[in-house]
Amino acid sequence: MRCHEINELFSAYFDGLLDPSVQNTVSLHLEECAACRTEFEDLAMVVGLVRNLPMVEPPVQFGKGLRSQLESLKPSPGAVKRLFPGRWPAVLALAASFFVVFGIAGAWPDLAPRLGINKEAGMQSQVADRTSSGTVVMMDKSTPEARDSSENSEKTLSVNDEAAPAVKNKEVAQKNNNSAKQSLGAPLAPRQSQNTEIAAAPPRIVDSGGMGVTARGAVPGGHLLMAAPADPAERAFLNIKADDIGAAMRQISDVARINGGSVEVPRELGVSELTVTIPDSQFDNVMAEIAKVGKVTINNNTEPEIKMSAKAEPTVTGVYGKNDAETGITSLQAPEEDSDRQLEDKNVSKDTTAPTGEDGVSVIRVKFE
Amino acid sequence: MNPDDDQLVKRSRSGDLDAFDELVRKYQSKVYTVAYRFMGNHADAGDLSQDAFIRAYQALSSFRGDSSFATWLYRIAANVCRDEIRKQSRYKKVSLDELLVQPGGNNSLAAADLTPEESLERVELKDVVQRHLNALSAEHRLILVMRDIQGMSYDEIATSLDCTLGTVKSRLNRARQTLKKKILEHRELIEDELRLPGKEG
Repeated sequence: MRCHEINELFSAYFDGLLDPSVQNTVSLHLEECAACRTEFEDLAMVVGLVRNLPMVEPPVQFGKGLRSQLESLKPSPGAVKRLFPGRWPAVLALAASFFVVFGIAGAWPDLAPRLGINKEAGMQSQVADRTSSGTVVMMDKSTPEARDSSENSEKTLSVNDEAAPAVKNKEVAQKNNNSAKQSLGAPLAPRQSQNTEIAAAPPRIVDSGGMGVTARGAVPGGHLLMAAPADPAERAFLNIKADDIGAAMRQISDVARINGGSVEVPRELGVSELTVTIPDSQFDNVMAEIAKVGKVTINNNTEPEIKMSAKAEPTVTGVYGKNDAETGITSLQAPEEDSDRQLEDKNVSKDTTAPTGEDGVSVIRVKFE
Repeated sequence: MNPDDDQLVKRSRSGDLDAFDELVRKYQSKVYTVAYRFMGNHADAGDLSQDAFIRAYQALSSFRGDSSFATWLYRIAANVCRDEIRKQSRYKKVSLDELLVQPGGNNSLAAADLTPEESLERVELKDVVQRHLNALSAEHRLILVMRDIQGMSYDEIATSLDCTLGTVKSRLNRARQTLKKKILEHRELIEDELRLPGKEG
């Protein structure tokens, strides 16, 4: 065997991985050939240098930084997958059907009753009694101006408000004041901590009462059911004259957020409107703050007496979606009880009404002039 | 599979980050070392080793246990590093050989990626070895790091790199020969550092 052929075997020879006969051949050659012996010794030295390179320890914060990154991730795909092993196509199909049904029904209000879907479906709870309790507080009585009722067809913010008594988790009730923040319809609503809040929010089924139909309530923060427009618990329709409409809108947005509410701005360009959703308890405060923004008039074309403490009547035995902010996948999470029936039954029966919650939400629609 | 690893992997799969933390603590030095030896700087080593762990975590459901978790993890780390090397090579048209510090002199390009601490240490032999490792091709670097730093078997390397055993043998030999040639250009430094007796010729 020639020297260059021996050289080809140096590496494996060094590792002792040659066949014994070949290993012996190389050994004999190295004993006889000084040049190859030097070559091999050099190679062995270099390999030794590499092998003796010290371990390199990562920075002290390596694990902590990694942990925080992992925590920011959603559960591993495997973990999520195991929630519905082998049923993803069915789950996605079900989610898509929700989107189609509620989305179409919402965009086409006349269709909703035929489909057995409550227009209030979406994120909001039903306001059961729109005429009870209280009258509107007139913040500024100057020049009330009538509005064409057709203007009231504007989209309004859907809200998630009440905790149903059947929900054992007290956190849910505590989150009521923040519920509007969960609305994707509120562009100013923060999205962080959405998942945890969603997880704690009650699943619900909304009873439409007078319509005689009941729809599966949707989900705070859930994308799929967000397509359903809301018929909000409108309590006040205001017209505001402001020099700087943009600034006024920002002020009102801030007021809403400070008071635990949220604001929806119509997507249409050139529409100077806001839909403010706030907890009932903050209604007076918010109205007072809005009055400071500009010259406020009450739109008389709304209900002559607007209730002061609209109560929602959510129920709890429904299914709600849980939006995965990372993946964009909206998964359906079964409630503790009766999940199979709920998952399979899109037209939820109306035997699921629930007692009234303690604090409702108020919706104030504002038009800027 | 290591029984401990097996349990930790199972727990991690179900979203137990504490369990995965244990795996991280167990293998972070090795993964980081692989990344550092492969890339030659701490910035890349930190990013890539974290990336390797994150990818491993996300792919736990696909880990069937055919190989050890460590081997699987090293493979991911190697792939992450290799991907990065290839990405970087698209932007750095200059040969890595040209980035090497020249014998007896400084090379601003080679020093550019070094932290101040690394710069202070650059005359050390380990650093010379590291830089010559960085001068190797990605394949040679990968196989050398796997074999001579991580001590993986030829079979494990073949599995990790999806190549044959024969390829591992020949490629490793070429990698070692190339590295030897480069490092021997620093024979004086080597002899000083290792206090070896001088060699003639």
